[in-house]
Amino acid sequence: MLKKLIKIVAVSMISTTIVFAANFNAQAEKDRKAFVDYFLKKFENPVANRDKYFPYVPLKELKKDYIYPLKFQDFQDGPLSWYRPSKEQFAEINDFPPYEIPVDDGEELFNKPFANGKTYASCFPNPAIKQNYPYYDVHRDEIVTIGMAVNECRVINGEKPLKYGKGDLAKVVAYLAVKSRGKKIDIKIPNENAAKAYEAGKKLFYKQRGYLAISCNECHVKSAGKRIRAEALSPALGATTQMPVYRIKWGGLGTLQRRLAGCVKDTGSEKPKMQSKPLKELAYFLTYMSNGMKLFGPDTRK
Amino acid sequence: MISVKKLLAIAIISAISTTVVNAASNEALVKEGRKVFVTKKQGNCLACHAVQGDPSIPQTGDIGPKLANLDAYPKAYLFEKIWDPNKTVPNSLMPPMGRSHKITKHQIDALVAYLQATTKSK
Repeated sequence: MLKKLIKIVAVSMISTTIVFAANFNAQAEKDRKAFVDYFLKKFENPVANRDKYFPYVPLKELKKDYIYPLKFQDFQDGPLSWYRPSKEQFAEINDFPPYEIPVDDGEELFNKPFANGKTYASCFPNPAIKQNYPYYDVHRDEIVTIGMAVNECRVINGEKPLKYGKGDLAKVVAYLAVKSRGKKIDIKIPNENAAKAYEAGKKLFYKQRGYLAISCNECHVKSAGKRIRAEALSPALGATTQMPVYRIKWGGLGTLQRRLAGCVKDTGSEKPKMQSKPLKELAYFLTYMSNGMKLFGPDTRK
Repeated sequence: MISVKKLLAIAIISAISTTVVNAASNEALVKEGRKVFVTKKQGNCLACHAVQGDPSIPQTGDIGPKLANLDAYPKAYLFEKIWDPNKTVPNSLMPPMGRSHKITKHQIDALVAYLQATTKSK
């Protein structure tokens, strides 16, 4: 009898936990479905739906230069997903991908012993982990990014942390990205504070900022699939799958946060600091929106 | 004693020269406006807008409408649109170039002059 009672209590506890766990991401799931749905509809048939989504794009260009219909995973290609001229140009560039050498460097760094004889593998026995970052650490009560994880691995092994955003840190992250290719993004919202962090990131995404008074949303949702000057605007859906990216403009690799910070600066507002709370929240929200998409990075951009 | 004839001549000459000066200054304003339109650190308007009647303009974006027939609008209306488009269209994507002091009032006047002269309806 007692055994039965314990069983009932245990089952009810587990199910309560599941219900609560589902509750924390209820809003986020609603947002994500609407987000994905918008992009799938927008890129289903740009020619037929020109009035609704692309009123100022010349019809001739829609017919000639647009790739459609786009499926969920197609958004892994960012601005190249929909714009044929860019896709063709970068297909040529990636015959000999400029990120290959930095990725090799990253592998070397990953396997090179620290002064204590251990390597990064002591922290990342399985390097295929990028799909889980950034994650909300409930014990530390903060968002942990993959860059932080790399630096924390160094510190506990007695090494100095690396500079965020680029250089050796981006190389190690690029190596982890390659190892994680094909894994589906799986961002969780484990508790109430994580849900709050998600909401803060969402707010930043939709907030108009800088002297241009534009939001991430205006360029990378509403205007995704249009050109700013000659440049194809990337869809926010799938944006984090390609990271880190080798940018020709940078002449090297950069992490998601480096790219986001640059974009914020372009709107005419102050450049946010790497690993600052707002930037991590924005990355958390943005990555959550691509949940379920297979990782594809690193890739090459202008 | 100035004769009526002489007075008339002076008046005509001054009228003509004013027109000439006006035309010349408007031409300079149009030229300046085009520069504001295409310069990244100034208006950078071509990032989003194409211009009817200016085929020599560099590659433009297609986020906003192609600008056409703007001589049909009052100057003050166009000035307001560039100063702060959110006044007339609250959810406009267009940046408030005047309100945020990205460009000056004079530069907006120049833009209006350029756009009205270039996109004239025929």
